[in-house]
This record gives sequence, C-alpha cells and structure tokens, in this order.
Amino acid sequence: MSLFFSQLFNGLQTGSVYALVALGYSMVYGIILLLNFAHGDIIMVGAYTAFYAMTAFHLHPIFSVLLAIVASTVLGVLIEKVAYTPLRQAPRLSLLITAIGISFLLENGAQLLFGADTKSMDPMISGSITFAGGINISYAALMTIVVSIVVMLLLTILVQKTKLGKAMRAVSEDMGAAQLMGISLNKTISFTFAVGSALAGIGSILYLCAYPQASPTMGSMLGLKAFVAAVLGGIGSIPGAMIGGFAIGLLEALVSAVGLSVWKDGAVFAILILVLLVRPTGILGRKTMEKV
Amino acid sequence: MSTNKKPATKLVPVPSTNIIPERDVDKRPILETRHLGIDFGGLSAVSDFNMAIGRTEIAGLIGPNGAGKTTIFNLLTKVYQPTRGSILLDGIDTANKTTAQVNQLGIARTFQNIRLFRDLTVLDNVLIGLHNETKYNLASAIFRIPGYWRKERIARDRATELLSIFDMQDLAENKAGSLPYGAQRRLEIVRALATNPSLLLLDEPAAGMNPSETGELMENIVKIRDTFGIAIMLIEHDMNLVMGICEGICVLNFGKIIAKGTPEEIQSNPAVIEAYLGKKKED
Amino acid sequence: MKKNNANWIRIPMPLRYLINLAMIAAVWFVLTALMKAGVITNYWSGILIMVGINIILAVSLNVATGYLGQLPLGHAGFMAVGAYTAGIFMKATPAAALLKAGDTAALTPYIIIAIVLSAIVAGVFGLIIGIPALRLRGDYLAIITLGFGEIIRVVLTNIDSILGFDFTYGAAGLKRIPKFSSFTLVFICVVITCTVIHMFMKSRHGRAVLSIRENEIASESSGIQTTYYKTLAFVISAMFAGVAGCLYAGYLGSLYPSTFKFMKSIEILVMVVLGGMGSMLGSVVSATVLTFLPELLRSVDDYRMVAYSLALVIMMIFRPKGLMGSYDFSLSRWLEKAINWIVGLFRKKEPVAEKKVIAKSGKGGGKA
Repeated sequence: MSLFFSQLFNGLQTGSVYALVALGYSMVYGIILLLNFAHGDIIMVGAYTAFYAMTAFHLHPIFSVLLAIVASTVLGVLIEKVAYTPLRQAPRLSLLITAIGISFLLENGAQLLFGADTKSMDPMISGSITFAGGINISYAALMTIVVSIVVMLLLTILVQKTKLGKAMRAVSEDMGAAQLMGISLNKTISFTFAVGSALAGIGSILYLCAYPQASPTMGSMLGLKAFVAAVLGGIGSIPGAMIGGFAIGLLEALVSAVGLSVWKDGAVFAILILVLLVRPTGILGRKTMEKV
Repeated sequence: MSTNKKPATKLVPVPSTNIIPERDVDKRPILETRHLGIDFGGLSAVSDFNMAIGRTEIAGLIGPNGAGKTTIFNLLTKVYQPTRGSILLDGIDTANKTTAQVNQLGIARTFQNIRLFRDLTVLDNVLIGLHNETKYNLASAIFRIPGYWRKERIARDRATELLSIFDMQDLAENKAGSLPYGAQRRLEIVRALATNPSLLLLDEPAAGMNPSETGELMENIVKIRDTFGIAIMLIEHDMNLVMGICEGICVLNFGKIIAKGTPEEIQSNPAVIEAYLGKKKED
Repeated sequence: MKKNNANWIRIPMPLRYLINLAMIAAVWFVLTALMKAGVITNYWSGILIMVGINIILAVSLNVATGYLGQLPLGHAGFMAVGAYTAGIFMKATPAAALLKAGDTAALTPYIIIAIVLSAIVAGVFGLIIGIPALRLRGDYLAIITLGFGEIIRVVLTNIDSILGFDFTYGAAGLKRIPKFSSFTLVFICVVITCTVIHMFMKSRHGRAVLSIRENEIASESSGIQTTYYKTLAFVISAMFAGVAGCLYAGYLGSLYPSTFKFMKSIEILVMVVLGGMGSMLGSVVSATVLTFLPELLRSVDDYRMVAYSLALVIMMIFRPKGLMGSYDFSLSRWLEKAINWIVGLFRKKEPVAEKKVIAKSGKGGGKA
C-alpha cells in the first residue's frame, strides 16, 4: 500500500513537470498552430542557468530560480522574434522545420558551451514527510505538485479573466478578425511565448528538484513527452495539457512499478498513437473543420 | 454583351416537386436531391433541399451571402457528409461515396477561392484532372512499357485540346499559380472538364471578372454545355450572367429554397425580391 | 516559347535513356578505376559508400516530404527496420562463409534477397504506421511517425528480454554481420532508387501524389483517391529507407539501436530540406555534400551539428525552397540545348526568314 502511494506521488511529481511544459506547447499551438519543438530545450537552458547561478556564482536559491525563469522567458520571446515572426506567412511545414532547427541549435550550442557531460548538483530540497500508514513523501514531490497546481490556476485566471488573456483567445480563434478589432498580433503572440517559456522555466526548476542535474539533451526527451502530454490532452486546451501531463506521469510510474521501466518511453508513445487513432484531437481537443 | 439570345426554355415538372427543361424531361434527371440537409453544431445550415437538374440544363443557384450555396456544392461533392436526405446522381445514391468516387461518378467542380495545383504547370493541372481517364498501372510507369507512352501521349493531346476551349494551350508550360486571376478561374474549369463529368458545378465563375470577360465566360459556358452535352450548375452573384444563361434557377435563403423557376419567374417573385432587398416596412 | 519552334531539335526518347545510361556507366567506370588504381583510398571509398546510402535515404524521404508534402519524423525507424532485417537474415545464411571464400556468384542471391526482404519489411511497417497516421492532419503525422521511430528503438533495445533468446542483441549491438555492401552494389542501388522514384513521379501516379501536396481538397474533387496515394507514397518512402538500412548493415557489419535515434531522422531531413524539397537532384547533391563535408572538416567536428541546425533555420527563413528549389536536372535537355545552340550558329545566315516565322506564330509567344 505504501509502495503504491509513493509510486503515485512519483507519478504526480513527474506529471506536474510534464503538465507545466505541456502548457507551453499547448498555448503556442493554440495561437499560431506551431509545434514548438524548441520548447523542451528552453527547459534545458533554464536548468543550466539555475545550475550555474547556484554553483559558479553561489547565488541564493531564490535568485537562482528567478534568474532561470527570466532567462527562459527572454529566450522564448527571442526565438519567436528571430525565427518564427519572419515565417508567419510561410507554409506550416517551413515553420515546423525551423522549430526543429532551433531545437537542435540550442542542444548542440549547449553541448559546445557547457560540454556534453551531465552536471550534477546538490538537491535543492531534501527530506521527506511520513504520513500515517508509513506513506513516505518527499518535500520535493509535495512542493512540485503544489507549485504546479497553483501555477495552473493562475494561468487559467490569466487566460479567462484578463484583457491579455482575452486577446490571446481572440487571436487563437481568428487571427485576422482579432487584428481588425485592434488587437496587436505581435504583442499577443510574444506574450504567449513569454508565458509559455516562463512555465518552461518553472518546469526546469521543478525538474531540478526531482533530478538535480543538467545535460544538453535533457530537454529533448522531457520536451517530447510533455509534447505527447499536450497532444494527448488535446493540443490548444489548457485543462487538456494538465490532464495529459498527469496521465503521462502516472503511466510512467505505473510501467516502472510493474518492473518494465526500460519500456517506459515506448509505452508513452504507444499510448499517444492509440489515443490519436481513437480521438484524433486528443481528450479535450476541439474538432475543427476546414473551410472549403 | 454578346449573348443576348436567351434559350427559349420552358420548365416542366418532373416526378416530385422538381422542375427541369422540357427537352430533358424524357430522360432521367442527372441530379436529384431529396430532403437534403446538414447541421453544423446543432444549427441547421441547409434543410429540405429538393432539386432536380436536367441532363443538358444550365441551372443557377443564387441567394444572399451565407445562404448555404457553397455548402450545397460541398454536400453534392461529399466534401461534407449530409445529415439528412439523399443525393441521386443519374439515379445512383451517393451515400457512402467519397469525394473522389463522386467525381468518378460524374460530378466535377470549381471552387469559390480558387484551388489550383499552383506549383505545377497548367498542363499538369489538366493531366491530374485526366487521372482516371489515363489508365496504366504502377509497373508500366516504372518500366516505361509502350502502353505508358501511348496513354501519356493521348492524355497530353486531350489536355491540349481541352485547354484550347479557352485558348490556353500556349500557356501549358507555365506554372498555374503564375497565371492571371481570370486565367486561373478558366483553368479550374478545364481541369474539372478533364474528369469527364456529366454535371459541372461552378462556384462563382465570374467573380472578379470585368463585364467583357464575363460576357466571354457566358458564351463559353453555353459552348461547353453544347459541345460536351452535360449539365452545369452555377453559383453566381452576377445577375446578368445568371439571368442570361441559366434555364432553371433556384433561390436559397437561410439554407432553404425560397423560389424555383425560369429567370422571368424568379425576377418577379416577391419572396426573392424580399430576400435580396429586405421587407418593406408596413408603417 | 522556344520549344514550340519547329526548328527546335529534339532528342528522341529511347536515345535519351541510352545517353543517361552511358553517363551513369561512365561515372561508375571512372570511380571504380580510380579505386583500383589506388587514387581513391579504402578510407574514401568507404565514405563513397556512405554517400550512396545517404543519397538513398534523402531521396526516399523526399518522396514523403517534398512530393507528398507531409513531414514524417521517423525515417530512421524505417532504416533501422531494414538494417536489422538484413542483419538478422544475413547472419542466418551461409553468407559470411561465402564472403570469406570470395564466392561472389553464390553470394549474390543472398544479397538480393536481403535487399528485397529489407524493402518489404520496412514497407510493411510503413503501411502499418501509414494507414492510421495519414488519416490525421500534417502535424499529427509528424508526431505519430516520431513516436513510431522512438518505439522501434525501444523495441530493438529490449525485445530480447521478452523473446527469451538473442534476436537483436539489444544495446550491445547486432555484430558480425557479413560486410556485403561493396561500392558497386551501393552504386547500383542508388541508380535503381533514383530511377524507380523518377519514373514513379513522372507518371499519372506521381502527379496524383503532387496534387495532394498542392491542394488535397482539389485533388480529391478531381477524382484522386488521396488516401491510397498518400499511403502509396509513404510506403515507397519507407521501402527505400529499408534498402538504405540493408546496405548500411552490410557496410558497417554491426548495428546498435542508438544509431537510429530521432537525431538520425533529423539529419536525413536536413539533407532533403537543404537540397530543396521536391527536387531529387537537390537531395542527391546535399546528401553528397553533407556526407563529405564533415570528413573534410574533421578538426571542427564539434561545430558540425551547430552548423547543421543553423543552416536549417537560416535556410527556412531566407530560402525556404532549398538550394535547388524544385529544379530537376535533365542531361538530355542540356544536350538538346547545346545541340540547338550549335545548330543555331549555323542558321544565323538567314535571320530575316527566322524573324518572320516568329512573327507569324507570335500569337502564343507574346502571351504569358
């Protein structure tokens, strides 16, 4: 029983990270219909920033965390401005290939700058809490779950209640019409990238809580899985991304729990393919119809 | 405008509530729809659409913007699946048929927002229309057996011939996307004709054309009907064109038919005038 | 419109094929002679084999990307399927002994079977993944194929523990595969791949595939069974990736699942994109250059991947159609132009007469 609960919380912990990262994918897709392959690598940059801030510059963890989030946000917006804006009128395929290019640029650039080896550091949060019945949960897991839920609630308020959120929804509904209503396309899209990348930054910190190490390719598998989570939940949908993230996290924990951890990655992609075949738009995705 | 000789048409009722030109009445209508309808997210976009088209008729489908005219075309070509009703193409029910199969059965169309294969040549566009007429299998293409050469040659000659309807044969090697707007619309018609249809659907063929181009188009539509012996149904906002060449006209408003008849009948129909000009206030 | 000119001299069709065949044979002859003479060292002839394998990979991916307009991200997966099929098959046959004895005549049937088998197995995988994936729109196809590529790798790594016997030898690698991929074999395969794909594309079937890329709805409305042609193009693409995998297995002699990572799929994609999506010549040229370049720039190997990814992004922003665009090279057309140019020099004596001809047929010439 206690093993079950600790696995459950493991799953929820990784699931929270996936969910946060998936939100970034989902928001960007919702607004410019781009699968932002570079999103996962923003996490990597965030993790390296936090790592060097703490180890090389001995900054206070709080500042390091803030620095990581700021760095991710700036990078996300920069990518959007430099690589995606010039291609806004281009075919979708070109945009997608550009995103892949950016992703590999970040990975290989990081390898060149920081080396290919994995950089380990001391865990940021240690210790655990024991509940009745011998259920042992680490502080890191608890904090990760709490932080991600709070962030998701804030994001929902941002999108549903604020003016910028309304602009985001309008642009994702109809870019042309939104522009005619006086909404600045550039601002709204940049803002979306900023929010998505900030979420990735938070995700990178939470990831460091779970696995205190950074490597150039850490973002690629994490990004891919978060991306799977976004698609699973229904890309473009915020609650969908959360559901997808938790589902993938729990699935991984389940597969590991039954002793098949080497099949973990395979299982995630197999589930993705199955879901897409049954429900091509994901769990909460909307059906769209092409106008003829 | 040069086409002022209006075809002297009399519309006569065929079984059910439909009307077609008198000369086609002995033959089965090429198209018959029965209670055709479609809902989009609970809203009915088209409902109870009943229409028949004679085998050599030029029919018009008119109505205010958003009346559901293009939706009808999409239903007929199975781009959308109907929620209700049936479509009979030459007596064959097209339920469970795909867009491609419907085309092979005999409906070809053009699009309101031109959909050409822009990066391919004009010739290739027409050759793609001739796809199902050019019969050779994969192996004969890869091994280039004589049959391949023969059939490709026939297809090329046919394509050039079709292009010459609009005097476009010299543009064959140009990219479709580089053609001027009017030529693109004409190429779409040629491509549709290449599929050897018995019913040709034209979605706003005169959109963006000047009066002299429209006049030429009117002559060509009649010419196509006469040479190919096919039925043509067109959506058009240019009333000169519609009233000039259509024999039977069907007026649509809010997804429903509000009037059917000859151009003269339509022009004097109070429901049509109301739909286009709005209702006169009583006070 | 020079081509409509009655004076334009055309090379008749069978002759064109003969000219192309002669040129291909000449290239093979020169390269083989240089190898025999030792001008091309063993090291470089090995790289030439890799060039050939990469050309097959790029040209085959181009079918799905450039011609069909989809973005499969699992091409390395199909290559892996082909490679492991060939590897496992060849290890099960007496091919190794025959190779050692130098008995080429007895070995050849095994090689042919290996190539065909790899193509078929990869094609079947292409069909299995293509039928469901192609029902979905572009992005989702990319994701599904990406997922498929990853699953293949996971399966290759772990399948032995489920089977209970050694089949793929997991992460340790499938070793001691007879090294049957000679330069001539790879050369022949490259020529066959390019020819088959060219013949396919220049037919009604190929045009149907192109029409789907250009406008799927218009294509369907023109009577083309789009699902069939999408699947067909996808399967052809997978089959030739399988052939490339087979040659790869026979060249290296050992296979590791980690070779066929997502990264490999991207490398192939870069070749296609840089060459120009939809241009076979582009794929051939960029596959050649991108295989040679790293060898020439060994010293700056660290920067290779950075340069690749930068090139990809810059290309998309400034020249999205690739170096070659959709331009395809035709030797006979060049020859035709050359012949006509030479003939034109001799005809210059009667320029007045020629002008009249142009003026007469000017009706079509002026329009454009």
